[in-house]
Amino acid sequence: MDGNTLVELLSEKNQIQKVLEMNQKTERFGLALGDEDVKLLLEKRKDVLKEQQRIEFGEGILPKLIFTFCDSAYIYQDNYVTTIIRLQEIFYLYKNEFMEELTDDELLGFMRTAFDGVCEGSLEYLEETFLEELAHGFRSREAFCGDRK
Amino acid sequence: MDYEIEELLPIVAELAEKCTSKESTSISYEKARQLMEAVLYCIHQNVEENSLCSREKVSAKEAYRLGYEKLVKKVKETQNFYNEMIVNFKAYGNENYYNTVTKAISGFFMYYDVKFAPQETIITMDYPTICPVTGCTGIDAIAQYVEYISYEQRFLSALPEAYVVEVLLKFQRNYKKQFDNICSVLLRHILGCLCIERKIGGFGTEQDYIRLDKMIKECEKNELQEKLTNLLTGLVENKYQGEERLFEYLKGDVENFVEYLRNGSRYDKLKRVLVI
Repeated sequence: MDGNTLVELLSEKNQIQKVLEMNQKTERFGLALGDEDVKLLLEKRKDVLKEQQRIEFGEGILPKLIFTFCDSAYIYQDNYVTTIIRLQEIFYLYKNEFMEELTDDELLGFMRTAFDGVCEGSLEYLEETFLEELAHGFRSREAFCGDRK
Repeated sequence: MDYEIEELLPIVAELAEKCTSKESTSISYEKARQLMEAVLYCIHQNVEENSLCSREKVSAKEAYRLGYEKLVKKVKETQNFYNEMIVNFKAYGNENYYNTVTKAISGFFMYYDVKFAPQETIITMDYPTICPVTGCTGIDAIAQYVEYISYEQRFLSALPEAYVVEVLLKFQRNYKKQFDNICSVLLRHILGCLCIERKIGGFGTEQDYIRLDKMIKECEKNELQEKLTNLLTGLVENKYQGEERLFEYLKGDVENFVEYLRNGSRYDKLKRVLVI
């Protein structure tokens, strides 16, 4: 095992630990992640970061994303992992679509409010309708302001 | 000075955190690339001055810190130098010269991002200097450019302003709208006069152009180059206290001037090449 692989493994071990620690906060909502769940989440995270051409430093968005959505009425133990995976994908996609102009908290805030509200728990509606329309409006505004400058 | 990616990534990560004010846990590849370039640009500041002992390699973080400090100092020094130069700056009516030096360069100092994008030059330096600014970017490029402009101003300021304008008008009626180098027009004018031993001031006759043409035809290329270089040496020694850097800068035009003279002579177009 070379030095680089060891560093990667240690880093991954830290990340797994951070996500597992979130169970302490989510258990009272009936949600918990096992080791394999977390590994899957981190694997999917790697894939979507590559797809969206983004780099993450530090502990990443996963702990905060879990914390933001854990008390949603539309998430329960059976769909917990798959929902978090999809929310993670949507989050990175729209970080790009909003051209880095929204902070993590702002985007998560929009996502949570819409998910529980107008989207009524539908991830497809969240991704393809609500956020898409919001991003479109945002880009048009940016283009308008850019033209005016 | 080579550093492994593992040594550089933590610095990039720290910059990313600052860049996003810790409000984003991820950045785009493009942003990461830009920040990596910023880190390397700072580290490279040490290499330029050869100020790091090659035997004792400092950490990437330390090299970055030292380089960043040098960069901040360089920006300040260049800006101070520019502010001093601009007080007496003359564009002699040329709009491109005026806009580039007074507006574009001051715009650079206003918008230059020394922390997150020091490698960006931002402006296009539309006014062409005799020696082009190549092989560097960011403040390195601007510092070089400002230095070149100062040499031109030094050279031109020894001549009466009205005379400079007269020569420029004679050379090209609409010089005010052109994007050519102003200094080389006057330099070639002076060297041309010196070539045929004509007094500077006023303009040459048809006979003067014939004499110049004869001289060009009688010289090999390297002879002509040597002649002009020697004339330039004498000019700088007599009128500019032998300033070596000024000489080196102006000498940058000699090779081109030789080509233009030889072609001008070949095709009977010397009057388009210079005013004597």
